[in-house]
Amino acid sequence: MSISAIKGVIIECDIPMKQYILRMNSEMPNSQKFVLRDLDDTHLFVQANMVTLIKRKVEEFMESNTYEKPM
Amino acid sequence: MQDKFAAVKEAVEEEDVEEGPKTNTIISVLDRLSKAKLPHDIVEFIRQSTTNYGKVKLVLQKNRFFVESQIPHILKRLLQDDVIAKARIIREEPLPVAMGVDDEGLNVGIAPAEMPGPDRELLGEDNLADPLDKEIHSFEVDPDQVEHVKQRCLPNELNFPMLEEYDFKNDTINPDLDMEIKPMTTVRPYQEKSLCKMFGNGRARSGIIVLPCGAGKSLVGVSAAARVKKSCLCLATNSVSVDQWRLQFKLWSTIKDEQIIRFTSESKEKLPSGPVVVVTTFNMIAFGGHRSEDSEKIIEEIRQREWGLLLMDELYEANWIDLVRGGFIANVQCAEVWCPMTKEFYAEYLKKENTRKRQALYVMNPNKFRACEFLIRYHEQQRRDKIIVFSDNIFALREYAMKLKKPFIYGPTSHNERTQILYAFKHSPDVNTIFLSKVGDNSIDIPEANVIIQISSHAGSRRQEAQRLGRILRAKGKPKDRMAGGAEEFNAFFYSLVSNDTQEMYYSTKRQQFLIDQGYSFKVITGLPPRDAGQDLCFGLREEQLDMLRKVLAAGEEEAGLEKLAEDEDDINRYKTMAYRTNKSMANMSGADGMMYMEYSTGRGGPMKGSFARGMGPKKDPNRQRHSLFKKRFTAK
Repeated sequence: MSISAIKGVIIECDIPMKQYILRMNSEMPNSQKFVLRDLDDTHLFVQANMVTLIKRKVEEFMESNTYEKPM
Repeated sequence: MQDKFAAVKEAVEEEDVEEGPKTNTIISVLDRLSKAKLPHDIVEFIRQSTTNYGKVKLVLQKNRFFVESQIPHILKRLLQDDVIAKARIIREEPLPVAMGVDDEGLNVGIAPAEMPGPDRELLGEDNLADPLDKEIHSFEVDPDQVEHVKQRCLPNELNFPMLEEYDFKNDTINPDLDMEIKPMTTVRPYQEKSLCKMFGNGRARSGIIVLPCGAGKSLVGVSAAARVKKSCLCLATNSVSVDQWRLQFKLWSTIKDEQIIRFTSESKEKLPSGPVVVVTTFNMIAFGGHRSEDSEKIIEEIRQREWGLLLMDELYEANWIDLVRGGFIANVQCAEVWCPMTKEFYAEYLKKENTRKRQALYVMNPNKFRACEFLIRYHEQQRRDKIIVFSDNIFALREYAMKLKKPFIYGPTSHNERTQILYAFKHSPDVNTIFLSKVGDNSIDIPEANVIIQISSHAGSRRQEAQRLGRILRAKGKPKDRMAGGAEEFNAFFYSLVSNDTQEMYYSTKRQQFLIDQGYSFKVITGLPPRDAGQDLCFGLREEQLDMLRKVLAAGEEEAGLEKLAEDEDDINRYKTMAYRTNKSMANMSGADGMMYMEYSTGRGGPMKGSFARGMGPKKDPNRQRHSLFKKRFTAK
């Protein structure tokens, strides 16, 4: 019997933002997918090394909604 | 900074039409409007530039120009200037108004009496004109030289800037236009004030009247035309407002149908030989390119004629706080309601393949729907208000209205049905909410309401917001109740519903800036509907929400998109901020279903940079708006 432990981080966010992170994950190539477990509406368990990237992407996305003129 | 500048400019514009120099008045008004204390050098600058202002007038009498002043030595000083001396005309025959000739050869007469305006609260008592008759001196100038004379009198030259006046009452050369203001028309005090400034001494002065939307600029314009009673050229911003001006003329005055004609790209009516009111657009007059034969003819006629009055309509986004205080327009509470997207709608919104349906998805957001339903219910039941809901997205318009069982009007609605719905909204106590698409922005037959809910707005354009606001800016209730702290501090409500975390936030920021610029009270509301009120609203169940989601996704892209109206064309040149999106299938775009896809610039060297790429809808003839010269080029394959 073997136990494998994965190091990860729990992200808590609002409902729409979790959807955005899931979408980000699904658009990644298989080797780079970072969501380890979809916990509930507002929580995700993700790979620790991706947290900075996720944060940056979410910020960029929010900015673009507010400041970029929709095409 | 820019607003400050606008306020100052406005104040100065208002002063421009004042009789004579009121240096201290200008300074005190500026002081009142300005947030910071007026710097000393600005005060000095105003003093310098206004001391000589209004001492000299240029008067048009019977198609002849006279330079007029109460102070003869100023005229003598002007006559020492070569340009002015050369422009002077000395005639033997009797003069139109002057009573005699003084020792210096100047004409002498009595100045027309100044009528005090009805309302002077802003300016104080010092402004009242001296009722005594004054001697007035004048000399005639050559009409061809008038521009040179005016130039010489500017501040950087002789520094006696001239007020221009038109003595229309004594004008017997140009025929009178037979029109009167209808007897039942009531002119509000501030409208009368604007008119008084224009016609203070029985002559017409050139000036700018600044009033906000809904305050009744058109009545002021029509009254002015009825006062002057000469041919009038009225310039509006686009063809829709041309139609509106024509209707306003017919509504307020006794002008006959054949005396008011429109000159736009769509309707070129022939000028009758007598006096006439011509309503046209700035573009039509200023257009420098080739014109069609018809319009060339009309333009030539317009050039040939003597016009008694030139009305220029510009949608001023003025600061109207003062008018609100006077109780003439409603006190509006503006609110933005932030609605979070539901999980399922947002997941679809994020998918790349749904890019074209994003608008439909964020407008149909069930949380937004519930907020809208809650607001309608609150205002109908608790306050007995009349509510107009605006949506640019026709799919949403239909879905919302049908689900809530309310009447709706959009482009394809027949005239008959439209009239019926509007009549019911106006008169029936059972119809208190209607849904309108963009057609409601421009037509003037939309009745008054005191609540507006926007479920989508097409580009956060200032013009659209201003027009929609204009719909609720009519006075209601007693003035004392409207004052701050009164029984009803706000009597009109303007809600914009915005889905969070979507592109709608972009429009929201622009809207906030606009409303704040205007001095509106503005707030953001979150958490609508309140938890305890949500049970009996639509889309309470997840199943219901998913049904709606399927419906949105199944809707054709054409259907889920923006409504496009023919009258939008006029605005492309003028409003940089507007964005247009057309949603089409691939087949449509590529021309596979029989239509052409075109890309063209409407810029004509105007302010637009780049070009708009627009696919024309299948129901429209792509050449309908095109200049006849280009039609051939675009239809030839």
